[in-house]
Amino acid sequence: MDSIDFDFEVAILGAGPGGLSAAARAAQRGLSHVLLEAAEQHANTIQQYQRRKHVMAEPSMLPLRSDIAFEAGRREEILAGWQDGIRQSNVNVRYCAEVVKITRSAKAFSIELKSGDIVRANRVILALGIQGNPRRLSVPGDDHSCIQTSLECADDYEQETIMIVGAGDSAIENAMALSRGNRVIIVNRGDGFPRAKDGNAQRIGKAIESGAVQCIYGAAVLRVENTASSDGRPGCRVVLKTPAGEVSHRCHRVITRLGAVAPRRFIEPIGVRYVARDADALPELSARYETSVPGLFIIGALGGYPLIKQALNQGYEVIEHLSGNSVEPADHAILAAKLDAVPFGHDVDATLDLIRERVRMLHGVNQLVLREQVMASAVRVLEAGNEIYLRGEYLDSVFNVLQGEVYLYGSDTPRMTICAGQLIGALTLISGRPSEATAIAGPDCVLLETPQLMVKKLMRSEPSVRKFVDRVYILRSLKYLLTENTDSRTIYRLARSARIHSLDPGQALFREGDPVDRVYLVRRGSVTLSRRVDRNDTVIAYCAAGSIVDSVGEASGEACRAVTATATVATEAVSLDHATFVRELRDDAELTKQLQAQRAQQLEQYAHMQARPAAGNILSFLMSHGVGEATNVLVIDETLCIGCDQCETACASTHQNVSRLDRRAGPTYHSLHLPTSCRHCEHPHCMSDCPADAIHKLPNGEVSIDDTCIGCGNCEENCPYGVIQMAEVPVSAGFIDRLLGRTVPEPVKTAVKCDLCADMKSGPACVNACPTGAAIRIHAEDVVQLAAKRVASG
Amino acid sequence: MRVVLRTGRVGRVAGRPRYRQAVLNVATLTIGRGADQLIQIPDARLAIAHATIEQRNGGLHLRVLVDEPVAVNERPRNKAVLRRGHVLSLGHARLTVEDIRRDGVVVLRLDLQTDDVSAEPPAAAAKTLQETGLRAAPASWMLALGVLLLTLLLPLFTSWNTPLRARLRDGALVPSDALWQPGPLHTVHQSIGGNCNACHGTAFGRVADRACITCHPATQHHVPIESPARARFASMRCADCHVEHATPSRLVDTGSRSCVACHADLRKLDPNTPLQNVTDFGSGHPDFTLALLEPERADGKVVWRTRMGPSGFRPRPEEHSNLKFSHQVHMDEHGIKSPTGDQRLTCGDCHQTDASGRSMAPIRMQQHCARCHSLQFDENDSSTAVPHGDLKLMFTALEEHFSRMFLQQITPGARPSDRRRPGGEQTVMTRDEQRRALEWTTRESLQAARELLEKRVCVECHTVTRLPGLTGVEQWRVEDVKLTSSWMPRAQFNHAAHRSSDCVSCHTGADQSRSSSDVLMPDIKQCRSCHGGSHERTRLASGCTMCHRLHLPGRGDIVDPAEHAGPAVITSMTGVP
Amino acid sequence: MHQSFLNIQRYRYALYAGLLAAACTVSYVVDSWRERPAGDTVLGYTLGGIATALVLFLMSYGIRRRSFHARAGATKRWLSMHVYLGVCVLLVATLHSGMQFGWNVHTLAYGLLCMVVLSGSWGVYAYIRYPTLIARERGAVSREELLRRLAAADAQALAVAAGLDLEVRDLIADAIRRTRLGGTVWAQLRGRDESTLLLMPIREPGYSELVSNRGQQALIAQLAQYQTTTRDTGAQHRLHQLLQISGDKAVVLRRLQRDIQIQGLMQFWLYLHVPLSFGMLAALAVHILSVFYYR
Repeated sequence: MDSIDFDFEVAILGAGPGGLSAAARAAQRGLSHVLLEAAEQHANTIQQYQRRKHVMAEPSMLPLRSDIAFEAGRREEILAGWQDGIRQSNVNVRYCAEVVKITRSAKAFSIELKSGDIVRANRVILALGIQGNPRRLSVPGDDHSCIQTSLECADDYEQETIMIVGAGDSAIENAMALSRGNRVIIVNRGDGFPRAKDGNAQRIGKAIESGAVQCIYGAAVLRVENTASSDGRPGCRVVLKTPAGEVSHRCHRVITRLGAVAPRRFIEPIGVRYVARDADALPELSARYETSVPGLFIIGALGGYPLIKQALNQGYEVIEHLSGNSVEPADHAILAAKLDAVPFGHDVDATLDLIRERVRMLHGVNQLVLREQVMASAVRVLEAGNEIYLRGEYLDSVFNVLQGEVYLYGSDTPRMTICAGQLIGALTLISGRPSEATAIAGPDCVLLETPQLMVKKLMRSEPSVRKFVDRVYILRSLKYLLTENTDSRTIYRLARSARIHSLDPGQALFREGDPVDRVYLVRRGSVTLSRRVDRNDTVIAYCAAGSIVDSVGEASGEACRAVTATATVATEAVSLDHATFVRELRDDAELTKQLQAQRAQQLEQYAHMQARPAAGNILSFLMSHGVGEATNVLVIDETLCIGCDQCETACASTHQNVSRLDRRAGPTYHSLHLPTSCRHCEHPHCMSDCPADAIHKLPNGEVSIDDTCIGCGNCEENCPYGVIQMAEVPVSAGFIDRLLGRTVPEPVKTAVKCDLCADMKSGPACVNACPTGAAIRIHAEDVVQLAAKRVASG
Repeated sequence: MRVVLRTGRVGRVAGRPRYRQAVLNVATLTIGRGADQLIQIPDARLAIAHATIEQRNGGLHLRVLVDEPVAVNERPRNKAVLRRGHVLSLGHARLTVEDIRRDGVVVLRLDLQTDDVSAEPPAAAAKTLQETGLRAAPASWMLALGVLLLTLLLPLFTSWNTPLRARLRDGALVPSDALWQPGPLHTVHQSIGGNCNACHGTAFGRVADRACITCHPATQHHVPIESPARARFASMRCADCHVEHATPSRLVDTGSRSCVACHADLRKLDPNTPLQNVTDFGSGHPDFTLALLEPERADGKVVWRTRMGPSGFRPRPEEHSNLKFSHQVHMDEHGIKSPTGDQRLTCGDCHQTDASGRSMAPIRMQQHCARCHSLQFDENDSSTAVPHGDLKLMFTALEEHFSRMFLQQITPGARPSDRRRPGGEQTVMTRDEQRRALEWTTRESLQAARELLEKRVCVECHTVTRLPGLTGVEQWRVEDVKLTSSWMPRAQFNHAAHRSSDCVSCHTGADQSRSSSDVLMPDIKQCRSCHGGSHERTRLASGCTMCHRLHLPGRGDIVDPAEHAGPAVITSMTGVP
Repeated sequence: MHQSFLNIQRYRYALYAGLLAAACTVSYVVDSWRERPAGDTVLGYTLGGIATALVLFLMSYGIRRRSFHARAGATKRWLSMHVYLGVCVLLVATLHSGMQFGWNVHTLAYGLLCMVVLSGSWGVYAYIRYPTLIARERGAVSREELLRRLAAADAQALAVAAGLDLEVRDLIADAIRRTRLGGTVWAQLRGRDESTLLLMPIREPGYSELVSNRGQQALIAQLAQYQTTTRDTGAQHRLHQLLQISGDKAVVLRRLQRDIQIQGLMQFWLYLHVPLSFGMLAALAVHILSVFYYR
């Protein structure tokens, strides 16, 4: 096939912020360049944001250097601004140029487009973003004008027949949204919705039953034909292959929701190395964003920088780098400021290297990752005797000792000295529980404080880091578990036998009748111990993170477990070899005494709970609804609740008239009701993926969303308890303002959830406002007591 | 009314619809969307209860209950008399009057247009009290404002001096400031009627004394009006003791607090007061003090003084009334000699209460003694009684008596020569005769007087003394008699209230007393046997005011002194301006 | 753990109220030795003052309930005080009256106070009793869910009836339309099933009237009759289904009615308590004013 070829100095893939910025810079520099965009418009991802969405400019401290203007504002304004940018700095952009393949010859890259054209370039900058390209139908006529891959705003369509292809969450959500004003047909390849969230699957199921939505199962699109729809409006005819043979449907619009082609699949063949196999691992990048393939650069979200401003900056930097004048990265100044405090000289790069070699956690991470980590971290220079954190506080970050030493004071363990290069806060990092010890700074102590989120990300992407943290965890936890007169050699020996088990909710750690061969220590999440009483399991105990599972069993000397340990939530446990454990510690009277005490307590709990199977049922009910990971959950006693909705009213009126709790919703058992309200989990699901890093865990355990939220809705997605809602929080205008008729800023859609009324002295308004004392907030550890009390009170 | 209702569905299947016939026996045929309607038409255009059909005096009357007229033969009507063949269009349904038979049976045909049996769920009836439109706020306002209007505004209106005032007050069931009075007026004040302002002068001002004084001008003060002690009463108001509107109604506060306030330690206020301290009748009351009348000689004249003397303790005081009297003799149970033979006397024969019945009337010779104690010097001749009370009169009476005797010559021992003939010519008496007659008469009179005064009559009760060196009647003096009339002038004993108990139970030994010098007044112990202090539970609780009065006679009228609060605007007794 | 508003901290507020009541009573008895008890004695004024203060405090609960930013203690503490002091204030007011009653505003205020306290005590009973009852009756099923089930049953009945004669379809539809749930205040509190059914004769014309359809009994009976009379087996099967559905519906309906009734009872007292208390407040104001207006 003959095709036109082009030669450029640099080819930029993806007209997102990164790509645009790079292209604009290139245009300025007079670099011959081309900007290839698969979609028919620039910044596709942002185009797909919902209407009038407020786009933030995080991180605010980072200076913007780009020829493309950008500041926080509405989606429309920003897109328009970039459009102008493209025009003014006459960027050579090609839309609808989907790249099929990139091959690297000796001197240049050749980029094959879907149209068959080949673009040759000496350098390639990938600014693809992580969304990947939405899968097309790839059938005849899939470029029809009325086929779209996204839904901006469901309210734009009325009285239309809309066909949605796909069975994922997005397909279902679109279908539900559209079904209000339109006739919706879902084309489902399978015969159910296995990929969808339970909630979505149920909703769509109901909708299909009631006939609100029509669903064609086992169907595949054969072709799309151009035709006017029945009412003369533009439309198309879709021909489907169904078990019943070929059928064709006329419709106004087709929305394809077939997921996306993950970029990695596209990139790796070129030879780009990734640091790990994990889904969210990142490609190896140099300080100049160059991949393991020389001449191939990756910037933006794809390289692990999800924020717009970062992408813009990187685009600029890369081009500057290519055009020969090496600019310091945008964050350089900030890093300099940060590291100013560090007494290792003033050159940023040197200092960074020094940090890397000092801090054992950061050994062997690449330059960029290091930069990012340090960027996100804070350097803290402390006087001797300063408190770093207190025992019982929830931590939001971990500390690496850069210099000097830190002393840890546990409840009954001796002072533990942490010297330079070591890590503290590892236990809370893993367990999500309050810290076990109080950390006091030693003489001339300098710390690198890094948010837990960053470290978790690092652990996922860097195996070395994870190994290190795990080891630290095991040693530390053993130290706390054991007593002073167990010498460190024993501990090391034990640690060697340690293994880590990670369990999904409901998965069993061990079962009744299993041999007692290991000692299990819950390190995150929690497990319930149940015993099989006449053919049904009765929950008899609850082990929170940090406790030994079924120490009774171990003590009893029985060969087999008498109970089954089941994870209530995503749980991790450390296990030690039982024999070693016993042997090593046989002659440690102190410890034996401690363990005996623990056992006695657990034994009592066993008896107590076994006497009241009802209590066990309550407990398992609570656990099955994820109370196990709650640090502060709202429980309503229905025998006291008069349904006055004071709690909701209180919540609304203390939170800009948006109630963060729904009393009626939520499960009920034995007249205990769990309304949908944030439980402030030990490992908040919502925090796992927040681009703006707006969700934090406060020392009191509260999970709070600060006002850097960009309203992306990830947390809403991620919360399994549906307690986060995207709400337009009205910006309250003062009385005077309203009097003077000043314009009130329009409400911005952001994520809202329970904040435990942190700003109120009297505690959570819902509990405070309950007239009958039906509403209380408790910690997961109190649920056993709660259950027992319920049964006792009848 | 008997209705044959034929229900069918038009346009369900081709051909004429099948009708189902129902016979209804009802007073009124109700039509509408609601569940309780007899003809229920599931059409949103109809009201829950839209119309009724009734059979009155032969006619079939349609009444539309809402302002959404029903088309009768395409003509919108709100009420109509239905005839045969009339067609009512109700929403999508047609109701045809097929026939009105002679026997009154009405045949109706209901054609439901729709062919699918659509059933709304139980019409959106309220399922919570909230949904029924029940609200607390309006009720609260109404109640509160209603109360304010009836019990505040109207009474206030009446309390202002408006022409309507009287009418409002007199009107029965019209809320006036009568609503405000905590209790009814005391009977004695009923005459004031509903006019609050008769006493209550200014708003938020206390009742001024002058309000009382207007009607009770002569009310006496407690202390002499001119004495400095009066200042102590400056702060006191009539209303302090005279409680009105109390239930049970009582006009005088029988509580002794305000009295005891001063009298508990009177010395403190007035170092040289003769009065003793009182705290409580039961426990802290001094012995009674008697006011004894005593004669005192001063340059030959007798002056009576009252001597205050404690009763009760030794030496028992003696009364010097100059009367010789023995209760014992008079109270002899065998009776005492009287013109009508022996007679038993009771206390009441001589001691009788005055008109008020509270205190005793003085004992009078004529009333109580004369019947038995006749004053005749000749037992056999009742005409020989002499007057009581004045020696001279008595003597004159005697002289008259004897001179008459002389003239009528009935005197034994008078010579015949002296006798004059009856019917004989009058002969003028010679001077010598006149002298003899005078001497005789005088002699006889003195004789008789001595007899009476010294031997028989007067001396029985009176002490008679002879003055040396005097002749004639002047030689005798009958010491005059004064009985103590009120023994305890400061206290007010009410005999009437004690009538039930006999005299001797308090005046112990009265019947045994021989001498009139015995003081027979009971002492405080006697009273305390029945009367206790103000908070007595076992005995009769007795406050100060039971015996004592605040307003003492002769202290001078209470005038509303300047220091008493408030210019009272008292219009008049009845308060009508 | 959960703690009812009545026994907060071992009935602490009951204790306080009790002490206050005792103090008032004792001083009343003692003072009645000195002078005849009345509203205008020193003690009378004191008690009046206390009562007024209490009333104002009790009324302020209404404000506290709505002021969610307030720091002054949890609402349940306030409610606890509200309850106990509410009982206490009745005693204090009675002592203040000195048992002097009559046809006047003063007694009106007292009477209203009594009624307020009475309605309040009813409320306490309601708040203790009914939530438990509701929890038991309703179990883990919410009212919305019950309503959904009801609607589902109706829809199902219609669907099943679709294949049957018009009589049955009309009967079913009629039964659904004439099903009563809730309604006026009285109907809700009474909680009787007022559902009706317009019975039509099946084949031959005859009398027909609106009969009670309590517990869907009339409907069920009618359906049973149809079932016996019909020959067609398919129809019999459907009628059998209808019978089952109606039975289930009857159960759901009963539960709903009961729920509505209890909910109503639990809230109704408030509609007396609040207006009465405002009336009482007004009367109290007048009482105080008038007493000092005509002193």
